[in-house]
Parts: sequence; structure tokens; C-alpha cells
Amino acid sequence: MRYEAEENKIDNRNLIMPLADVYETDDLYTLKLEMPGIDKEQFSVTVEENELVVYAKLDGFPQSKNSHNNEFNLSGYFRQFKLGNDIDRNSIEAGLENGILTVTFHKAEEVKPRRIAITSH
Amino acid sequence: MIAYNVYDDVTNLRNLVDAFFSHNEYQAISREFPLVNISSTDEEIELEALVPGMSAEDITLNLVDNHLVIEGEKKEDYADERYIRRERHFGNFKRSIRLPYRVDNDTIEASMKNGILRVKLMKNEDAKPKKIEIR
Repeated sequence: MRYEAEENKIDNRNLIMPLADVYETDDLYTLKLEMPGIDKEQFSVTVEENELVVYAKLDGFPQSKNSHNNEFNLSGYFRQFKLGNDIDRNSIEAGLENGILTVTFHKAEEVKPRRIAITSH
Repeated sequence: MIAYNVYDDVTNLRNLVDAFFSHNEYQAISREFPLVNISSTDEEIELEALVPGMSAEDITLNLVDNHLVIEGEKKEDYADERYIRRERHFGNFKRSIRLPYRVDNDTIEASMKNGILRVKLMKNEDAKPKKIEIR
């Protein structure tokens, strides 16, 4: 793991691996991750070489009260993705809405579908 | 630069095995939707449900006896695009959750933030703890 200081490795054992969908259009790849409970300030999306790392640390919810039903524990999120070479590394955008993190990747010019003009002689 | 440490691989393996055996609730009960936490104080009950990608209009809450019924539709947020990976679930859902105490029907507050639904319910007078004077 090459992000955050080396000596300060992310302990991802208790972090949730968010569910992900990836879909593509002619110009874009879009990645959608389910990360309920995070604010804009709490997550980081980093790209290093061929790896996209999504990481969010939550302070956790106060557990002082009586708990009756405990089905989730939002400690944080962590997931890595390998990026293909057809992605323009300089135009990756991320947005957060209703607990869904959307990361948009623009395809490199070379791989976009092109219409080839037919010239008649 | 970091020197290669042969023990890193050993601890990585241990982490892998630990992660396999440690029960990750979020993934284990993902058949249930939404996942719900309930906590209480002397006065009130707080319910939290994970509803990522949904807005307030998509969800209906009903109090039936001492059950809270969460119902709604999680709409697909990309229509007919070619997908490469699909792990999330969409569709209709309904879940009935038994509340630990009887509640006051008139003072229920519900709010949504960052994909988490929070419902605050006040305990019914009869369900609150009472101090009994000893004479």
C-alpha cells in the first residue's frame, strides 16, 4: 500500500468493502459505490499508477445508548480498483450524493468510437 | 522507499485469514434491506437504516402497532447503459421492524442524511422507567 504514510498503513480489516457498479458510455466510465454515512470531508479518492483507492474513515456512531438491534457498524470504507490504460488520468471526477460516491473517468481519445467518413472518388 | 520485509507477507496472510473468519455483518446480512440499528435512552428510541442512493420521496414509513414498516423503491440510477460490474441491488423492498418499546404515535421524527434514514420515536408514557417511592 503506497498511500497515506508507509508506516501508517490503513488497517482495512474492519473497513467495509463498498458495493460497486461500473458502467460505460461512449465517452465515460462511471463507477458508483454505496457508502452510506459519509460526508464530503471524510473520504479520499486517490489514483496512483494503475490503482484507484477509495478510502473513508468514520468516527463511528456513539454506542453509549442501549442497543437493541445492531446490524451494521460503519467503521469506514475501503476498496481498490485497477485502472485500464484507456482512461485519461487527468480528468477523473468524484461526487457524493445520498451516500453514493460516483467516480467518472473519461476515456482516452484513442479509444473513443469514431465515425469514419467514407469519401467517394 | 521501503525495504522489503519478509514478515510483511506473513502478517498479510494472517490479516487475510482473520478477515475471512471475522464476521462482517454488513456483507453477511445483505439479503435484509435496509440494515437497521436500534438504540434507546430512557426517553426515546432511535432507529437508523442504511438506504444509500435513496431520497425521502422513495421511502414510506408506517407505524403499525409496535412495528415500524419501512417500504419503498430503490430506483436504478443508470438506466440502459452497458455495465461492466454490477453488485448493487435495486427494486422494491418492505421491512417490518419490531420496536423494543411502545411508542408515542404523535411525536415521530424522520430525517435523511448521506444515505442514512434516522427515525426518532418517543417512548409511550407507560414504557418509560418510573421511580417508585418506598414508604
